[in-house]
Parts: sequence; C-alpha cells; structure tokens
Amino acid sequence: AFMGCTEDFEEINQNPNFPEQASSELLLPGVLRQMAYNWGDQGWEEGFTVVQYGARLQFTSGDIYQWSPTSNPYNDAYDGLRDIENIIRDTKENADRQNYYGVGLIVKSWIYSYLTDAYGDVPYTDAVKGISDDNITPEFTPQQEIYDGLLADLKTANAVLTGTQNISGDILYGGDVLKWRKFANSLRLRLLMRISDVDQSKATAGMAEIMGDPTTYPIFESNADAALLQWNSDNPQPKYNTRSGSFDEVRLSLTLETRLKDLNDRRLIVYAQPTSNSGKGIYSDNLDDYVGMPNGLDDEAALGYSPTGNPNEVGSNFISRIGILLACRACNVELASPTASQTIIMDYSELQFILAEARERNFITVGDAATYYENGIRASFSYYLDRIVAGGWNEIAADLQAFDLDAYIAQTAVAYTGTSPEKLEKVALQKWIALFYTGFEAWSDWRRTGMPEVIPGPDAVNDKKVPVRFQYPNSVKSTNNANYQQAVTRMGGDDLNTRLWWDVASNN
Amino acid sequence: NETYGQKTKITLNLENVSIENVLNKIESLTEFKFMYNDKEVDYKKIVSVSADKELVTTILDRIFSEMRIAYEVLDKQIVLKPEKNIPSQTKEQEKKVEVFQPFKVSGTILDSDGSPLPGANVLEKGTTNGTQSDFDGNFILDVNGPNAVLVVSYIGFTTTEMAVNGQTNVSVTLEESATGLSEVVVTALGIKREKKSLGYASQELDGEQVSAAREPNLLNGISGKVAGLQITNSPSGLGGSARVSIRGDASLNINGNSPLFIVDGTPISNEIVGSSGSGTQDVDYGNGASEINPENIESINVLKGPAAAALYGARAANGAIIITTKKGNTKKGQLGVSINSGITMENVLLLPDWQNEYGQGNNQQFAFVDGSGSGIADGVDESWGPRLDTGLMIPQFDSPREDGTRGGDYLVSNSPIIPTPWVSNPDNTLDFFNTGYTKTNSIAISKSGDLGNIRFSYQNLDQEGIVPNTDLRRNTFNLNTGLNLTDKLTINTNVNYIKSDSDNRPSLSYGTESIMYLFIWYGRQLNTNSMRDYWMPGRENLQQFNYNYNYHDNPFFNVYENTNSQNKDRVYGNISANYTINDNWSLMVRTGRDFYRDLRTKKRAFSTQRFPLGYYREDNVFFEESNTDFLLSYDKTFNEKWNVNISGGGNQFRQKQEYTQTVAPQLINPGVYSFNNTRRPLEVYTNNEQKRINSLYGFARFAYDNLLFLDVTGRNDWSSTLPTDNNSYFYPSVTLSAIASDMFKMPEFVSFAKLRAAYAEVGNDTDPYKLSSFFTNETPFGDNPILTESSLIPNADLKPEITSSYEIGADIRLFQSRLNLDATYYDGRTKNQIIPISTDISSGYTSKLINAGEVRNYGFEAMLNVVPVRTENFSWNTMFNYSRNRSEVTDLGGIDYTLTERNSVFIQAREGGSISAIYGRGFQRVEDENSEYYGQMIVNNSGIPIRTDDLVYQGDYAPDYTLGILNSFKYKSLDFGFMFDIRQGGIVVSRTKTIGSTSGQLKETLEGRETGIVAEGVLETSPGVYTPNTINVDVRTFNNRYYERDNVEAAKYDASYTKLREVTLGYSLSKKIIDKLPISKARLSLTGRNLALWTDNPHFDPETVSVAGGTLQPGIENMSYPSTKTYTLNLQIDF
Repeated sequence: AFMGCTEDFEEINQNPNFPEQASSELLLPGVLRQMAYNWGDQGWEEGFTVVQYGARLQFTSGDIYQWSPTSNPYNDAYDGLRDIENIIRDTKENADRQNYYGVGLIVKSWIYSYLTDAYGDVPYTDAVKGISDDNITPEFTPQQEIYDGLLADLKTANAVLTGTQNISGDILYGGDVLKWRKFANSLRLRLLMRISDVDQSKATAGMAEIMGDPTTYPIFESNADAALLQWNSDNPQPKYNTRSGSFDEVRLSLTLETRLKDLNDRRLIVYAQPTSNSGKGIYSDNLDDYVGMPNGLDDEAALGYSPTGNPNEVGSNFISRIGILLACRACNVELASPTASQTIIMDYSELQFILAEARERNFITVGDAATYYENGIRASFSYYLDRIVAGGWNEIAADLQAFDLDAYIAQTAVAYTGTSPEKLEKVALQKWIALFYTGFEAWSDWRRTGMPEVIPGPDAVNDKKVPVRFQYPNSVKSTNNANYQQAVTRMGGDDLNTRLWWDVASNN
Repeated sequence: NETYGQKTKITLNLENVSIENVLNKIESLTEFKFMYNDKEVDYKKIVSVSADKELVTTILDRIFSEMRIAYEVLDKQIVLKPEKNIPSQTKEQEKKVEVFQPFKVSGTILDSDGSPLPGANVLEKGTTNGTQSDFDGNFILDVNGPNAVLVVSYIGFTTTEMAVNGQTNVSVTLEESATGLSEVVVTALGIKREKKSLGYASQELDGEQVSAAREPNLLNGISGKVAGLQITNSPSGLGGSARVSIRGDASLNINGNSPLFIVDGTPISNEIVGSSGSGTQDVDYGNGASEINPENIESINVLKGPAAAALYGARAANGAIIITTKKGNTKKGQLGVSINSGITMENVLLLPDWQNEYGQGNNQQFAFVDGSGSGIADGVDESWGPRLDTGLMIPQFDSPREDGTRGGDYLVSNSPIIPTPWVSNPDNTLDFFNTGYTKTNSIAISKSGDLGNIRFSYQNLDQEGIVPNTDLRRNTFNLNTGLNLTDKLTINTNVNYIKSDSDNRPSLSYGTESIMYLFIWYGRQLNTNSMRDYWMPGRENLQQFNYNYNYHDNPFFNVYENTNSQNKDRVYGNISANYTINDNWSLMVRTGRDFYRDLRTKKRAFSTQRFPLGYYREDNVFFEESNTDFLLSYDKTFNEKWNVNISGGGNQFRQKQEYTQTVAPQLINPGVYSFNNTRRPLEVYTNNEQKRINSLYGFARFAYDNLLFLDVTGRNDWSSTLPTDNNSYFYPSVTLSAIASDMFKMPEFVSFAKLRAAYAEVGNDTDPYKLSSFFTNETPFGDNPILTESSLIPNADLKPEITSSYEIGADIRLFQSRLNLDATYYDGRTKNQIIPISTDISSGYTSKLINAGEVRNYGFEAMLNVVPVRTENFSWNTMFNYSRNRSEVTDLGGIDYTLTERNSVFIQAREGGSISAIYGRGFQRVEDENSEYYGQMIVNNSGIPIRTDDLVYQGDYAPDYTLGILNSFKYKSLDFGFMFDIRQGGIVVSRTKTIGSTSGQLKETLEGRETGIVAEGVLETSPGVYTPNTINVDVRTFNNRYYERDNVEAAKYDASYTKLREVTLGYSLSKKIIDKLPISKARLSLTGRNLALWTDNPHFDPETVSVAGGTLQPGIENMSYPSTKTYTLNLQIDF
C-alpha cells in the first residue's frame, strides 16, 4: 500500500515549466540572433582593432596583442549549433521541411567557418552529439576536412532549397528561399577564396561551378540580397547598450584615418565622429576634425597620446570616437540609434571584391575584374548612405549624397589600373575599407593575403607579431584534454602565432 | 478477602513527574479511582517512581512515605487525606524520630541565575529523611535539630551541602554541574535521550548561549561555540546569509553541504533563493534558518555526523541542527511574562587600506570637464592622477561653475568651472557609511496548568544597516501549546509567523550596482559629501549627478533610488499528538509545514549606468514544504537491567517551489515603478518545481544496566526525482556507547568516561526534472518566439548517492568534572555523487549529470572544558572547540570537476586533491631545480611577470583547523565572558585586491609611483637561461599587468584570522532584591561582537563568501562589504 504512494512520482517529476520538444522555426531565430550579435560584438573586441579600424585608448591589452585564451566564439558557436543540429536532425529526412534543412546547413556552415577561422581545428565531425551519440569528448577535426564539409553542405543547401514552403522564424531573410540560396553560394565563394592559396584547384573548380551556372547557383546581385541582421528596438545593435566608457575605449585608428584621408574617402564621416575638441557634434564637413590614434600603445601611452604633439592636447577629447552609426545610447542619448546599424554577416560589396580578386587571378573566367571592383566600391557607399538615412542623421546623409563617387573612383589611387599585383592591392584596400565592422572578415583576409599591411604598434607584445588565431578556451583543456592535445600537436601549438591550414601566404 | 488493590500489580517508570501524573497513570493502568481534596494534597509535588510489577499499595506507600498523606482503599476507590500525626514512616525511622528534636527548616532552592528549582532533592545528611522542592523551589523539612546539615541535589547540578546553623529559613543556590552526566538532549525525530547513551557526537547550546550574541541572524550567534560547526558570513550585513557546514564539505555540490534544520521535530527550510540575472546584480535576501528568533530557543543540539541524523535521511547527511523552542513553564495558573529589549550599534570594522597621496586621473594629470573624457583624463576612473595636498588647484566635479552650478552638472550648464584645491579625503569611503542600529523588543507570555501549557511570544526587530537607506524589519509571532487532552493523549502545537520586510537591501558583487564596486574605482580625492545631492538641478528623476559619467553611478543615487526591497511572509510550525497506548506502547503522529511568500522588487532610476531608461522588476518566490510522520514505539525494561525500545515510523516529504520573475526592461515615465509603465514588452520567467520523498524507518535501542547502549536504525526512501527503477534506497546505521567508568574501576580522579562508536549510511537523491531534456524560452525577436534546448545533458539512469561513515569518540571527565574532554574522529565516504560535470561545449552541451566519484571526508574534533576556579562567589569556565577536517577526492573517474567558478577562480575537485581546492592562473616560474633562479617569476620583454595559461593549484579554501575559545566568569551577580574565534589556514582570493591594484586605489600602489617598478623575477634570455630582470615599468602599467583579472595567484591571501568574536558583561539582580520587586528575574547585559580582527591582509575580512545566484561561494572575495563590529545593550525582565 505504501509503495502505491509512489505511483504518481513520474508525473510529479515531469517538468511543468518547459516543453520537451521544439520545432525548427522556434529554434532558428535564437541562433541567428545570438551568432549575429557575437559576430558583431567579438568583431568589435578583437577583429576591429587587429586590422586597425579602431585603436584602444584605454584597457589596451587587446591592441597590444596580450590576448588570453578566448572562450568566444567557441562557446556561443556550439551553443547555437546545438539548436541548428536539432533543426537538421528534425528536417533532413522530412520532404516537407527541406527548406529548414537547407537553411540549417547554411547557418551551420557560416558558424563553423567563423569558428575554424578563429581557432583552426575544432570539433566538427563528432561535435554536438552529446545526447544523440553520448559523445561528450568530440575529436577535433582538421581544418581542411571542416572546409570540405562546409563546402559540401553549402552545395547541398543550395540544392535542397527549392521548395516553396514558407520558412518561419527567419529573421535574416523573412522566409525568402531564393535569398538563402544566394547567401549559400556567395558564402561558398568566400570560403573557396579562403582556401585558394592552399588548394587552388579545389577553389577554382568550385568557383567555376557557381559562376558557370547562375540559374542553378544564384549569388548576391545587390545590397538587397546581403546577409544582414536588422536589429529591432527590443534587440538593439550590439554596441547600443554598452556603457559609454566601454564604447569610448575604442577610438578611430590612425591607420583608418590615414588611409581614408589619403583617398579623400567620405566614409570617414560614417566610421568616425569629429573630435570632442572640435565641438562639431557627430558630423563635420571638414575631415581635419576626424583624428585617429595609433594602435598598439600601452595604457599609459594611449591615454597620454597627443595627435598634435602638444602635451596640453592629450586624451579622448582630441581623438575621434567611432561613428554615430554604432554608438551606444548612453554615448549620445538623443542621436544614437538601436537599429540603424545592421550586423553584416556577408554583403554584396564583399562578394564583388571576392569576384574581382578571383577574376584578376583568373580563378574565374566570367565577368570583368574592374566592374566587380567598381561595383564593390559603389555598393559600399550606397549601403552606408542607406544606413545613415535610416538613422536620420541628415547632415551626414547629405554630405554622402553630395560626394562625387565617380571622381573618387577615377583617382589614381582607386582607379582599377596598374599591374596585376597593384590591382590586387587596390582590391584588398577597398575590400578592407568596405569590411569595416564585419566581424573577423577583414582579419581573415589579411591573414590570407597580407593586405593591406598591418604594422603592430610600438608597445605590442607577442614578439611584435600580429596574432593569426585565437587560443582555445581554457575550459577545453579540462573538459576535452586528450583531443585538445591531439589538435595542438597537429597544428603545431596553441599559440597566437600558429598559422591556420589555409594561411600559407608569406606575410606576417 | 483480598481487595482489588491488594492483588493488582503494575509496572511504573516515571521520573520527575507530579503526584497528579502518577495517580493518573495508576488510574489508567488499573480500575482505581483516586479521591482527594486538592487543597489538602500537594498533588503538584514532583516525584519519581520506579516499580516493576509491584502492588499499587506498595507503590503508594513509597510515594506517600515522606508526604504526610494517608490513604484508604475502598474497593476500587482510594481516598487520600493528610495525616493527623507525625509522618508515616517505617518503624525504624519512627524510633529515630522519637529521639529527634524536631526542627522545622523551610527554604528555597535556586539555580545560579536565581530561578527556582522545582523537584530538587533535599536530604538531611546521614539519614533518609528528605523531601523535594515544590514548583517554586520551596521546601519544608523537619530535621534533627538546628545543627543538621542539608544535602541538596538536582539532576545536572552539583550536589551541595548546607549547615542549618539554627536558621529556620535557608536559601540554597545550586551550581550547574559541568558534567551534565544525566543531561537529556533532543535527538533525531524529537526523541529525548540521555546524552550518555548516545553513540555519536553531538553538542548542545542552551538558549542563553544562543541569544547572548544578539545577532539578527541566529547562525552568526553560534559561530565558534560548537566544534566542527563552521559559519561563514555573506558580505552583505543586514540579516544576510550565513553558510553553515558541519565537519567541512563532503558534497561536490557546493550548495549541498548545509545541515538540516529541525524545529520541534519538523524540518524547516534553510534555502537561499538567489536573485540575480536580468541585468541586475546579486542581492542577499538571507537564508531560511536566519529568521528564527533566538529568544524563543530553549536549546540547540548539533548532531554532527550522519549516524546522528540517519533517521532524517538525505538532507541530514551533513548533520542536523535540532532546535527546541521554549514552552510555557510556569507555576500552576500563574502568568509568566518575560520582556526583552535591546539596542545594537553597528560600525565598520575594516575597510580597504587606501592610498591617499594621488588622486584620480592618469599620468599624474587630471582636469574635470564632463566626467566622460572631455577633460584631462576625466573619463578615467583610476587614481593615477596628480599628487594630492600640494596646493594644486584643479577643476573638479564638485568645483563651482561660474553660474553657481557644480562641475558635474555638465548637462545643464557649460559655464566655466572654477578650480578648487586638490586635496586628499582619506575617509571618503568611511564617510559614506552610517552607524547601523538594530532595535529588538520582545515579550513572551506563558502559562501552564492542568490542561497543559501555552507560550506566546512576539518580537520586533528593526534594523538600519551601515549602508545608507538599507534596512530590515522583522516581526515574529510564536505560539507554543501543549494540551493534555487525557492522561494518555497530549497534543502539542508550535506555530510561527514571521513578517520580514526591507525597503532596500544592498546590491552585491562586481558591477555598478554595488557600493564596494563604486569605491574600488573611487578617485582618492573625491569628497563623498559632495555626492549627497545626487540629481542635476532641473533634471530630478532624469539625470544623476556624479564625478564620472563613463562607468559609474553616484553611490547615494545608487542606494536611495536603485532599491532592492523585500516583503516576506513566512509561517512554519507543526502539530503533533502523542498517545500512550499502554505502559509499553506509544504512538506519535505529527505534521509540519514551512511556507513562505517572498515578494522582491528592484527599482532602477533613469540615468543608471546599467539602465539608462530605468527598470523595474518583481520576483515572486513561493516555497512550501510539508513533512508528515508517525512513530510507533515499544519500550520495555527486563530484569531491571535490560531496556529495549523498538520503534517504526514513516514520513512523507513534499516540497514545492514557485518562482516568477517579471521585468519591465525600460520605463516610460521616470519614478513610476509599475508594470503599467513599461516601455518594452514585459519579460516574464517562471520556474515551478515539486518533489516528494516517502520514507519508512525503524530503530531499536538496547540498553544494558545503564552502561552499555546499542542503537540500530534503518531507513528506506522513495524519491520522485530519481528514475523509477532506482528511486528506492535503503540505508542503515548502528551506534554503540559504553560507560567505561561504570564498567571498570578507574582512578579516583576519573569522574566519568564514555567510549562511543558509530557507523552510518545515508542515501541522497537529486533535484526535480533532471531525467530528461527540455527547451527553454528566450526573449522573442520581434514577432518570433524563441526556444533553445537546455545545455545540460540529462540522465535517465541516475542512482542515489550514498554516504557511509564511521566515527569513534570518547567523553572523559576528570577531577570532579573540572576537566572535560569530548573528542571524536570521523571518516566518511560519499559515493555516486550526482553532479553536473562540465563538458566541452563542442559536445553541444555544457554539462552532463552523472553519478561519479568518491569523496572521503575525515577529521577530528574536540571540546575541552576546564573549570579553573569554582567557589561559592566566583567561577571561571573555559571552553575550547577545535576541529580539523579534510575532504579528499579519492575517485573521480579521471575528471577534473569544477564545483564553481567565479572571476576565473575555480573551485575544482581533482583526484587525490581536496574538494575545496582553488585553481587558477598564476605566475610562470623557473621550474629547473638546478637553476639558481629556481622558483622565481619569469618576466617578459616588457618587464611584466608572465601568467600561466593553465590552471594551477593555488590553495584550499578550507581551514587547516578552527578553534573557538570561550571564557566565562561569574562573580556574584556579575558575569563576564569573551570568546575568540580562530581560523588557521586556507586561502581567499580577492577581487578587491585585483581591482584596487589596477585602479591605483590601494596603499601598496604607492610603490614606484614616481620611479616605476622593476619586478622581482628573471628574464629568459634563451631557453633555460635566465638573467635577473632590470626592466623598469611605469607603475600603472605594472599594476594593470601584474593584477590581470584572471590571475588568481596575484590576488590570494592567507585566510587565517583571529577574531575577538564576543565579549559579554552581564548583571543579574540578586535574589534578595528580586524578592522585594514584583519580578522574578532581571538582567542587564552589554555585548560586543567582532571587536577586533587579526589577519594578514589589510583590506577585508577574510571571513567572507561571495554570493552568486543563491550560491554562497567560499574562498572567493568579491567586493565584499566591510564587516562590522557591534555593541548591544540588552535588558531582560521576567515577571
């Protein structure tokens, strides 16, 4: 009789708070939000300074390459991949849900490419099988194999994304299947270009396949196709909620200032604000009011830096903040916007620069390098004009609208002229300018091409070398040590200077 | 022709009961009815009766032999009346009486506090002539002449002789005997046992010892007073939580080491429900047991090991704290009233040791423009600025502008700031704190009579913390009743209602909401008084005024506008019925409940750093636990020497928790804290849990000749949280106690010697809903609802945990019990612990629930009690409580298990290590033992010591040993006591140290201010080749790099301390004065707590834990509030 009292125990132990099942459309938006946020936020923390868009005025350890083992994007990526694998598992064999399957594969590919380009070898083949295969210590997969998998998955995604069923929970493309396919193929081109130095035949074959059959393999055709996360007021852009002090620790880099001013590039008024000392607020028509600072100063030197050399003109008052587009609410209560800044996962201009480079290096035979190049520049200007208009910053918008882009493109330093290496250098420079605040993409490109040049700051540590990867998170050493050790041995060390598989160019 | 009475034999075994009770008992066992006039017969007189199958008349003869009561048996009626003649005695005595010169002595017997002792034995020395004191401690005895000597004895007191010397009225004061040989203590399930029969370690505190501390948190008041009981305070003051563990930590669940709290037989909650998340920081709302009113406590018995607590099941695997509350206990029909009133003043004991030579800024420069970086280093919140007190004039946040506004009012004025003197403010953090006050007033009313007893008490506690605008109010109502419905059936109830509320409790841990965070970055020149007016003029409720707008909140704005309130109603209590079926059988049924509702709100004003558009949040916590149990007992004595008691019982445990958090993430209008005023969709989170455990248990006690005691118990639990196949588990215990001093001949100086041994197992279950995976919801993205799979890998095959342990101990009392030692060695193993091991998130999950490991927990504890002096007027008593515990991970399947991690400080269990081990990154050192630089730090090319990448063992948070030393002195009506609490060994890792160094606030950052620093250490010029470091680094860079936030080694301190924990001076009115007043007791006491602290680090009290989401994490200091010293003046009057 007493045992009878335990009969309802199973019922008592049913979790009343949460469901045990979730369909794909409920899982997808969370992953997109989290990873886009991470891509923006992490890009700000390291990517932004390592390629010298921004320089650190305070807490400069990142800028002088004093990096600790980095737990992100590792943690967020696999946290998102858990739900992506749930989507893939639930939809792969379901003919009616192939669109979710395809989208799952694309998101998975993007996340893994982000992850492996940050660390190198990461768990892939055995990953995210903690419950399904009872595997809590997945092996690390060599980066080459990961790339093989990603490229194959993107191809599969393009193939399965043919259905007409609607995709719900799609906060990237609002359920537009064609745009997902364009993203899949454009991303595939990004990854093919990435491996082009280490496996050129594979890269060119893949590029040829895509470019040779635009019907089967549609790619981005305009800014409207770009993979951009549009934030909303409940989910504002990643920098919006930071404290003003944290935002202001990162300032306009002297490198970006110099390169843009050399070209008379008006994107400077988007990427930065006039100095406080100029008293011009968020916009000045005079580029002299936009002043950067050198990268790689230690804290003392950074806070004591004077752009003019005048010891009475030191400090944040004399150095430009990053542009109002990215600014935090507390930085400018009246003018900051939670939504004008989108997080760029991959945009049209980047694709055009990839194609320009591919055409210039004869990886592809379709199209004209100069056209791709020019498209890329125009797309970038046009994109930032749109965002500035969206933010309601009319003076900046008017200035950009009035800017003579044709003249800009025609000037020698920009015009697609010169030797092939010179052209590639121009592509790299314009791509770098356009990739402002696009996560780690500029860093990856620099690692691959060495262009444009990154000169470590005077106080840089790490043997004065620009880091070429992240160190694995400390937690891996305690939770998956044998596999970690194996990967480290294979890669030749868990070091900031350990090159990734595709990073074979003789830079750095 | 035998009457009924002459052939009726009964067995009786009653100790210290009233005549009335004895008669009732006889009535219940026979068909006799007693008749008497209660004015003639002292039916309240206390007697003890022991009879084994004896005639009722024989028993009555014995009882009434000393009472001048005659009885007459009329069939089944027995009539009692006073004797006309001299007491009825044996013939032999009658002869003696004849030769006596009767001399009537009356008197009173009192304890050392002046309270009457009822039922004390008074014997004329050398005779069998004696009596007992009545309820008022009074007695009357006819003795053999004026020179007779009285021998007065009472259980638990030292037997005292007193010469009559012709006095007709005497007063005898008995000293409590240190031996406590016949001490009766309350053990598991509320069963009273003679202490000497126990086979395991326990330690008692009486109510006086508990309430003497006058601490709002009961637990803090018993710290140091029990060997092996370790209490660690949370750093929050104000009725904050305390972490309790007995015999160290044995569970790999860092929250799983609390003992079980039992009040009058029923468990009560000692939960800590956390309150962080949603962007706000932790607030400590106190632990459940802290709310018990110490003044209602009759006694506390600490059962230290699993053996003691085996009958309570899993939650008592870490011991149990058994609290017995006061019952109505007065003269028959008379009203007892006790009034207590106390006031406590509280002051800061220790603040960080700040430097006062350099102010805010960088590179010795500073000038305020807008506190956001527009001035010279005015966005910098560190103290690397210009030298103070050198006559410098600098524009500052509190310098006036030409238009009369302040420098910091930069949003409402841009009129020029007039520079003011740049001077130090050494006490600028101390200036912020107030003197805290705690007022406690209580009254207890009690009465007892034929029907039973009743006690009602009310206590009001009103506390203002040292942090401005923080407070706590607590009203406690308690009603205790015992009803003798029939002589066989008694019903006891205990009901407590506690209403706690606070307008604001301080925010904790690292971040702008915490005051200590603000202070660790607080420019050393800042004048705190300039912060008091914390709004910008004309922008009240919209924009705070501060010295820095980049990172910080104004501390006064923080405590007055950003409040964390609490409103808690709690009811706990039980009702039990005891039914004596017959002489051998009895039945107890009981049901108890503890439930509370706790409403917490968090308000955040506009312009708060973390919440520029304000914020409002309500947390609604509901908790309910009920325990219903029964116990059927059989008790019998055989052949006078053997006593057997066998009992069986069962318990049903139900626990339910409901938690709802509702957040308005931004507000429309400032200052309106209502969900109607939300600017964004409300965010709601709900978590409800329930759990049930059914248990059956039995135990048997065998006692032989009062010198050998064997106890056996067994318990089986069925838990709802475990898989159906594994949810039933059984565990036994066995204990043995032997009174060696009664078994063997011992030297004269041995007063008492007891040996004991125990073995016990205890099973444990887990939390609800750990068997299957689920999906949690997140904030929607626009119209898209979002779910995500939980990152914990559940386990459908969990097994119960099992702790098995043994202990051996001895209780030895020497020299008339003036030297008493009670020592225990224990050794336990906990297997199959249910732990969430961390997994590589590349598995998709961050943790997996497994059964793993074996932890060995062993140690030694001893109590030594010495009475160096004991005279009639003066006594000195010293007590030492010592304990030493080790918790060793003997098996963990090769895993390094992180129990908790905070600020890169890992509390990690590794095989062969301890479960309280702290790991973290440290400095790289020369590892080559042959190098002359072996052990030195290695610095990099910039002259900065290099950090390790790996987690390195840094030390252990558990102490090597703890020692409490209590001294009490008594001189006539005065008493004085003091107590030291000593903790030796262990480390604490300090965030105050890390941050205060990087921010240039702490005193040691003065080193090298002008000259720079050359770190001690060596450079590695080529692999394995070292040369001493000569690189000079500027002071700010050095401090920032040396104290990296994840460098644990740089921030660790020895956690040893010695505290003057308690000093008490008391004065009780003497009996002579009391007699002239309408009162029965009056005592005035002055108590000081935590008056002095001796420890290695100059910055904080090492007796601290950090608080994170309901977990009290030992070994980690995280911006703890200063601990406090308190002084209490208390007056107690009993009527």
